[in-house]
Amino acid sequence: MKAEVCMDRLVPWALARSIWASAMQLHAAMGKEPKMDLLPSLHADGIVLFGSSGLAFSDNSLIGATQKGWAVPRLMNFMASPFTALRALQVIISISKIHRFKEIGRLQAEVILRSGLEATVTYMNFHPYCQELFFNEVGATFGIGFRDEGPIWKISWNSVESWQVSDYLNDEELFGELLFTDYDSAISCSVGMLSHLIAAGSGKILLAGRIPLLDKFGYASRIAQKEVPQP
Amino acid sequence: MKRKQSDHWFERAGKVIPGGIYGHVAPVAGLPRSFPHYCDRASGCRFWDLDGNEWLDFMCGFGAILHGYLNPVVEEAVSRQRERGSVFNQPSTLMVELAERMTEAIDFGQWAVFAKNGSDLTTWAIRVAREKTGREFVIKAKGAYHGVDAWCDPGLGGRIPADRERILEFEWNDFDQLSDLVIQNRDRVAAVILTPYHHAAFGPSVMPVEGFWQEVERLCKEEGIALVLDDVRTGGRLHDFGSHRFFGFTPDLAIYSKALGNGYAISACLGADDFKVAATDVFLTGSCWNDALAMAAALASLDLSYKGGVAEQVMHLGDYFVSELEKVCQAGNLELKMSGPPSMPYPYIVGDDHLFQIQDFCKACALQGLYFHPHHNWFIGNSHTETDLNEALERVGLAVGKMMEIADLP
Repeated sequence: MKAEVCMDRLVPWALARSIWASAMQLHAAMGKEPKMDLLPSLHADGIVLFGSSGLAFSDNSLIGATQKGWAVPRLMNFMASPFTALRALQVIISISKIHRFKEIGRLQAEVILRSGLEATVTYMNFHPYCQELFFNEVGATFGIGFRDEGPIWKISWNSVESWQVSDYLNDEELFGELLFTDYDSAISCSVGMLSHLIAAGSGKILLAGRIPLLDKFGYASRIAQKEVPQP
Repeated sequence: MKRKQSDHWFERAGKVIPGGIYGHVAPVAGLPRSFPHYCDRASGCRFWDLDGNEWLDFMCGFGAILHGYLNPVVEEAVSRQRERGSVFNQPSTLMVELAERMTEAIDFGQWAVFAKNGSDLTTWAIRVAREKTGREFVIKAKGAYHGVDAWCDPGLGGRIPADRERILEFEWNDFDQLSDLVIQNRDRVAAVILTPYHHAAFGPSVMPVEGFWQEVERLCKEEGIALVLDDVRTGGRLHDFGSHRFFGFTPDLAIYSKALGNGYAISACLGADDFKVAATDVFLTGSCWNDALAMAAALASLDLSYKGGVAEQVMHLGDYFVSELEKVCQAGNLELKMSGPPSMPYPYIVGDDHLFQIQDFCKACALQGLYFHPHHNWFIGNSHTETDLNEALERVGLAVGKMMEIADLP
């Protein structure tokens, strides 16, 4: 059953989901099993907890951490299991470094893109206008990836989690496909530095299939980009 | 296909124009890396892009060209007027002549007003309907395009809920649904606005079912609702004297644009007599809306249509083209079908629910110099000859043969 997220917690929730997705992607890209699951959960009094690590932030601290690069986690949770909390913090710091890394490579593109996809999907699930846009698209599946290898992820709907990002398995039926020509374009699009219209016109992103569906996705991603702070 | 210049100008555009190119001609709306971004010149049914590639065209300026690019009769009329000027402090007498010509030709039309775009007058027409009826609600078909204004535009941004609070929608051809909406909102519906047939983008066109228009007309009359015909895209291509004649019904208000000026920006709204007072009370203006060049073009364009029976001619040409095109594709094991009226056919491939194949087909055709749009109805123009159509068919044969090779192209 999909959790309910009220509008005033949507930004920290999207941020927390993005961090979790980035961590998963970082481990996958390095061919490692994640040592801990940072799957976030929302708690009362504006607290976001990352898995069972003991790492927790207030909503405001989490947003501050993204904007300023640092924030103090909740000491009460931290002290309960300091070692796992510290490890979780290290993972988050390494994600943050990837976002700030000047060199562009596959790892950076995958992590940043995956982070952006998760924030967008969170908005598709909880932002009222995005929900309205995708109301008639339930059942659709579309792929995201790179030109040379095709879709890596798919965005699809299921009755448990609503819209979700998952790995694309070959030969799954897609309603649409969005592929980036190179890693630079993927990163630029993910952080809102490249106009989608210009990117499509210049061939930096390649769209195929049901364009209006991809257009809605793009619009949802731009709403998320506007609202969710980026490192 | 060369595209160096096209890309160069697009890059320049991106720095000073949001999105580089926007709207229905934005690259993303078509085939971004197959179609050129910019045109250089056009003549008849062909155009040349900035890189010198020649295209056999089937979009006719998205319908704005009915008599061919640079039609000599239309251009001559415009040249004559250009010597006298285009926009003045007062309208030219061409405005009166154009209103007379259109009200003589279009049977229900007792008066006419002019603007520049279809949107200018679809929006104005529903305001006239509200003024006349004193009611608020407007009913339209789901997915139908009536312009760029907030009550109906297909975009996603810049909306507030209030924009569409008074707009109700029903599924095209579902008369019972329309009737239910009217009954649920009895005495609150000002207008039903519809296109002559359903020509939404990204899906096959749907003709009205037998008796649909007559039922709609009856319902509107019984309930005191204005029946507004959006003939912007279709005007002149189904029937020379208005698409309502093609389907056998009578609207209260109808809007024409696209082909009216054969490439010169002009739109017209014609109305029944009992809407004339309301029309005078709904403000309408634009500094360039009295543009005499566009009115000269419209008069010349209408003359060509009225004297030449152009709608029937493009329908006949379209009929030939559509049936031969389907055969050529079938010979290449491609189940291409054309929907809608043959003068404005919309393509789809059987079983291609998510449009990948039609996009590949149009990309393959683009490599043969054919401008076939994968998501919008095409237009057959008065300048297409059977020779042009046969040339296109031959190129389609080549394209279908090569389709597999281009499936991986961007």
